[in-house]
Amino acid sequence: MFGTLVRKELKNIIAGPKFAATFLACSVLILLGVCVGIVDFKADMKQYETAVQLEQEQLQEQHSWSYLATRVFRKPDPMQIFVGGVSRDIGRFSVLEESEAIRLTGSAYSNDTVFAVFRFIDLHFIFMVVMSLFAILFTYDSINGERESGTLKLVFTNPVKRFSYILAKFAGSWLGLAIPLVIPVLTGLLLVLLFRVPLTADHWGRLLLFLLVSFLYCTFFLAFGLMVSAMTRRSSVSFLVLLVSWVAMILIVPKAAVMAAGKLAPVPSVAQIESRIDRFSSSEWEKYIKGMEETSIRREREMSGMTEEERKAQREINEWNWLEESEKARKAVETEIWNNSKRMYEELGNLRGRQERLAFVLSRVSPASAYKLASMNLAGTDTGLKERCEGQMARYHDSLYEFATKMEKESPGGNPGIMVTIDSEKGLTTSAPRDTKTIDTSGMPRFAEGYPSMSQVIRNALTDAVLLVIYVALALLGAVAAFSAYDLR
Amino acid sequence: MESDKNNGMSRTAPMLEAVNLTKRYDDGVLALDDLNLSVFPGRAYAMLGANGAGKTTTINLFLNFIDPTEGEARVAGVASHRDPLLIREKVSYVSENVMLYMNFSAVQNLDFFARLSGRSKGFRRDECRDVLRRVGLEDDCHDRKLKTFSKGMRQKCGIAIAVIKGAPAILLDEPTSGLDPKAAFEFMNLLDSLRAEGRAILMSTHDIFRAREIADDIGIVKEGRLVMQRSREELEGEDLEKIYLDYMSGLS
Ligand SMILES: Nc1ncnc2c1ncn2[C@@H]1O[C@H](COP(=O)(O)OP(=O)(O)O)[C@@H](O)[C@H]1O
Ligand SMILES: [Mg+2]
Repeated sequence: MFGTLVRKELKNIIAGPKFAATFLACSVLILLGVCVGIVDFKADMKQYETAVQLEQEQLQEQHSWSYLATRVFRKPDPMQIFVGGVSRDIGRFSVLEESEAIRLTGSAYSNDTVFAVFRFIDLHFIFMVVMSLFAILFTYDSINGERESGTLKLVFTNPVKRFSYILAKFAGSWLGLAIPLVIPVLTGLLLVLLFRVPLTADHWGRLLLFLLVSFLYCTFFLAFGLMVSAMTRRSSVSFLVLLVSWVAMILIVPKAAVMAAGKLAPVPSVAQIESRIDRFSSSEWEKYIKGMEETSIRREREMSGMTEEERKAQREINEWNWLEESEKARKAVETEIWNNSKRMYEELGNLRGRQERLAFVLSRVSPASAYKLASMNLAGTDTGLKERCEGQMARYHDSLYEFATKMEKESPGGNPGIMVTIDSEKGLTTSAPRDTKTIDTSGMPRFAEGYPSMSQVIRNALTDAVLLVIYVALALLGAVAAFSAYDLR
Repeated sequence: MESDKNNGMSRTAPMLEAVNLTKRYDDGVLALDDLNLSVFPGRAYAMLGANGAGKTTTINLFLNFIDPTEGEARVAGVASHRDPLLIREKVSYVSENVMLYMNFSAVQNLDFFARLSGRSKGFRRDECRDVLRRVGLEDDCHDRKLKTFSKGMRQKCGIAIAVIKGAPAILLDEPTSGLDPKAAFEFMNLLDSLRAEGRAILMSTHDIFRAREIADDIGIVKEGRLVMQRSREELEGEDLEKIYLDYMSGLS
């Protein structure tokens, strides 16, 4: 019985116009998305390799370990083909200098703003926006459409259980959607092989998980469409309800979550922080000046009974002490101000983190957000990418300058200072020393960026994947419950 | 096989039976009021009545698409709201407007509904074609999509589904309304042959002429009440149309 129902559902879908349209749209979009992704990735990779090469050559022309300055580059991850995430929003490289903090700069979008306008269509985007819509299209009239056409009643004049019927509807439309999805996706993977995209075993694992999560996401919309279809009498109504829900889930909820998080967990702007720091520092300086004034008044008072001579002697004796005292106080104020501003920025970072987490939690009300977070985490193009990358670069920074210090002690390079000569005839001339000896960079540590491991990405994506499973289960339960009370006439 | 058993039971146990059947819809409309009728195997019962008399309600109660407010609609002795799955094995249904899957051919539709019918007997694919021929659909339209079918052809498909199911009871809700005279005549012949096989037939209709021709028993339903019920023998020589109109205008 169940098999008969599933087969009929699948046959009915394949015979209908929805199937052909979906198949065509999926094929075009998925293959286009993968192609564009591969081309972009190859371009990014080439840019990366050239930049690294160039930096290497420049390093070899340096003369001294003591003034070592270079740049480190973020290696493009082939997963960005499928889930672009923040990969093009964050910088591609950071300048390395001994006393400078790591800061990724030069993002793809800041260099080529046209890309930012026409953001690329990766698989993730196609699934999130287009496939969810097709999933809705597959099931929005599953139940009420059959009621409208009169076939529902005829089916139920036979010994058919409602439970089997709704599950068969679900299974049939799932298969009907899976066919036009799986075939282009497999073709896309073939393209990835054909173009020799450097995917490691871990990459394939992550890619597989991403595809699984994507299917789970589409499954949610199938089940959701089924549920709404089983709760309404007319397919035009269910279509409208579903369209509004779709817009809410994909566009409104994530945006509203970010805005609500901004209201619930406010973060001061950098300008506010800076003005607070300014205020703090001026008040500290004020205190300092007041203190100085009081001291000098106190000193005057102490000397009030003295003659002019005695006063002079007293001043001479204490001059150094007093100077040292004031200098110490000034230093203390400076340290206090520096610590305060460090604290302020730390606090800002914490507040931002809190706001981001809150925004994510709120946005997870929408399966689209859960899917987005899960797939970005699986691809390693999530919002943590910048931090992870800067962390790796910071570690490299430390090891590099440790090495440089050691090398400097062992074989100091040429003096990079400027020679100033005063000649009676030529006057004043400056010249850099013509030291041709360059540093030997062969033993220098190289920046080896690691891709996130399988276990790491699974840990990051688990919450959202589980959430998607829950959403699917809820929608299915809702569909079964709604249909068990459905008026079949 | 099935019909043998039914013949053995005939005149003893009704196949379809409404006992004090009452239905009040949620909005308070009393659609059926204490209706009693019986249809025996091998007999046809025609329910006559104006629009809104309660004919469709009666049939929906037999199929358990709605629950009775009071009384029972029994199929082979079982109240339909007590075991809907069981009684749905025993009844076939043909609606006023048979609606099938428009993207499927006649054979595919018939095949699907035959598999759903829960028939214990084995099922052969070419049986579909035999049945389609029997209801008057020629071979050239067996594999045509249903959306190319006329209303008469769809009604024939509907009866084909009832035939292939082989159920002992058939419920028909105004099956010939909107059919041209020739199609209606063929349809009635088909019903006649099904009755001859021993099936119990309950049919609602406006068509007094056809009702008289085929039915063994005729009941007139007015505002949810059975106001008249007579057998073919009792109606011998009477003008059914006049009786009907008299009841409708409240003269009788
Ligand atoms: N779902 C319903 N809800 C409320 N009233 C209904 C419903 N279906 C039918 N009725 C009412 O019940 C009465 C009988 O309807 P019905 O059985 O369809 O009549 P018939 O088939 O004889 O034309 C009518 O008055 C109709 O308005
Ligand atoms: Mg009716």
